[in-house]
Amino acid sequence: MVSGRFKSRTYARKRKVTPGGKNVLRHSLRKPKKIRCQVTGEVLPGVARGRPAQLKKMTKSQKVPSRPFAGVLSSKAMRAELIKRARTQS
Amino acid sequence: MKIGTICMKIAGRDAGKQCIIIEEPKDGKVLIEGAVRRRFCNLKHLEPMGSSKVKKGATHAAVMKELGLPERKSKPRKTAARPRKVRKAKVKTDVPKESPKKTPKPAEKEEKPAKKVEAKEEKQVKKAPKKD
Repeated sequence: MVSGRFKSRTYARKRKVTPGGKNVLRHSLRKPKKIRCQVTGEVLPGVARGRPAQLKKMTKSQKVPSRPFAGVLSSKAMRAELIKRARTQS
Repeated sequence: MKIGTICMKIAGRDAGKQCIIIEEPKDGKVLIEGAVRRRFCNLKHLEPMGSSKVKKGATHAAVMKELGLPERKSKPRKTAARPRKVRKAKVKTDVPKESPKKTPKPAEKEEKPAKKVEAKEEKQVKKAPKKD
């Protein structure tokens, strides 16, 4: 009998073959959604997805690109923002 | 875009940092120095902000002074101790050794206690007349 919490679609389902050759259904918590740019709305490449425990094990450079606004804005949006700042400062 | 132009880098990991062009453009690239790493940079990755009087090939210190930013100081590298060869001990030859010369012992000092005894006697002599 399947446990009650596994009946909902909160958990992702994955078929796996056990070492004994059985085909079984395994449940695991879903990954979060792909992170998107706050300005343009495009999916940010190079930003890690995973449960907090998985992300904890990663280094900062593995999680996000090494540039300002990494993981928040896309490179295009960041460039536009920096150009705006440069023109206001000068 | 010429030597002395103050720019902001708008691409890469140094994006948002200020720099100054210190060499003339060549093939669409210029040498930059400032709060960024000293390197050749594509003109498309720079946004001009103003001009300065920095000369061609200026040092990091001169550029940072012009920008009014604190200078970046790299830590001095620790050099490892240089391994040095230890000289081997000299091989013994068959030449017979000369017998070491015996140095004469210094003469024994005179006995001091004798003086002390004399001094005590003198004190006793001095003390005796007072009692009388």
